[in-house]
Amino acid sequence: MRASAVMLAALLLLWGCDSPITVEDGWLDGPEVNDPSLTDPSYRVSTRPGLTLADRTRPVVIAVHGFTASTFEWQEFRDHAETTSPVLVSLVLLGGHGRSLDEFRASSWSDWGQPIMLEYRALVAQGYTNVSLAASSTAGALTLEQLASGRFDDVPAPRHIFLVDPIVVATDKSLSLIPLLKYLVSNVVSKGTAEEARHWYTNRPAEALAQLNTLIGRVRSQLARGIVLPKETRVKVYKTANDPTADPVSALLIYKGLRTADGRRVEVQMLPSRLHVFTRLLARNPAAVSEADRRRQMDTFQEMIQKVSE
Amino acid sequence: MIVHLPSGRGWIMLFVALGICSEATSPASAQQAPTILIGAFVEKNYSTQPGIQVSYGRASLLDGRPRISAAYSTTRLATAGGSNALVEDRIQAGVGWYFRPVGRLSPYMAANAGYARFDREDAEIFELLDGGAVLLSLLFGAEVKLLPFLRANGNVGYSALQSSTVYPLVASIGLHYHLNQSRR
Repeated sequence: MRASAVMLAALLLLWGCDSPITVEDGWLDGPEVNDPSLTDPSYRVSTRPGLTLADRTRPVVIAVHGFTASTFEWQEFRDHAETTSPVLVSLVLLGGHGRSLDEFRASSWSDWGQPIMLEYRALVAQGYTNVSLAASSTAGALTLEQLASGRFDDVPAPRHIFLVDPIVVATDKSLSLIPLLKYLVSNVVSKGTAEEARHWYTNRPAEALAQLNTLIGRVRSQLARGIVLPKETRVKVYKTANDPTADPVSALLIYKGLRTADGRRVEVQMLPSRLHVFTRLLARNPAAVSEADRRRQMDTFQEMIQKVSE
Repeated sequence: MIVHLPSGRGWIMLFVALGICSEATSPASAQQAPTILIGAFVEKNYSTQPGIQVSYGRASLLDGRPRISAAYSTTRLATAGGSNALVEDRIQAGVGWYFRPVGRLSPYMAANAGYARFDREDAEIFELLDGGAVLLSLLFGAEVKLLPFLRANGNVGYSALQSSTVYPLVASIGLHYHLNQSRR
């Protein structure tokens, strides 16, 4: 009897963690707000009007956002790179993202990654010869999975891959319980600023969290077995040390598991910051952004531009 | 081939195990018939780690229900075999309560505390990464007597303190040799 009461109390406690889905006006979760890349072809370089044959020799960086985010995450980089350098930035929206919450819930991690390869192949087919990738957070995990699965084997290899706060291990370890908790917890709410709610899903359905957990578990296994980069590809990992979302040990796992074609380690830079995806400062709570964060963002943008322009 | 020796804490565990074994072989302890088990286990948390464990209990104390234990587990075997997984060592000490210590099947609960440490590989690059973590877990499981001198156990539990490589859910299975039983 006592054991049953304890069990019941535990179940009620778990149900207490569940958050009902609420959507407010102006949130990305709702039907009115969608990612602008769905209607504006200029977000992706492969569909951008006005580019000429001569532009195909310019470096292109395909910039891909993380879980629940949208093309907004790399907007500052596009604005900076395209106004200060010849680098073109293609903002790719992950599958299932930037649309309604129902589409997000129904999508799998492999759906999320498809637009990355579609844009990469489209650029290569159009004759772009210097294509690189910048992947933040979950896009980092998706890129590693695509490398491990040989998705770049039949196309010219990307020149550079920049992984910004890639997630291989989540900081919040309760994500690892999602295969069990998804029967009790249907939704988790993560609130940011009002502007962030326009560009990130506020509601995180358990199905989507389970997909994320599956993806990063798969990537950890692939890294443990070893992932070898294509011959021409160089990787740099930027990782903040006090990241509230992607555990900093993710960088160590990538350092151990990812090698260049000639067996060398990849470049890793650990940064003393508490931000997740430190390259995005727009729409954050101003009190959470320091001068050092702004310097780190600009230094990273400059380094990425310099590397792809070499 | 590089042979990885246990870390400093691993050696401490080994000495504790040897100390317990020496008591088991003394004439006085034979009369008191303590339960001394030495065995191997596999623990699943962030990674899957094999380990060794020594546990000790006295029949004269609360009918043999409480037992203390010490354990060492590591990923060194897997990493020596070519895996790129993190090299991690864990040492833990614990106290358990066995509900049916003389039965063939005994449910138990246990509390473990310890320390985990993973190798940062390059201390300069990963200077900002903390490789150490305190372990604290509560476990529920059962032990079955397969033979008079052989016991198997399994448990699941919750890790109250979590860190980079310490996940909330912990589970293990083990096989243990009863030192005193084997001498009779």
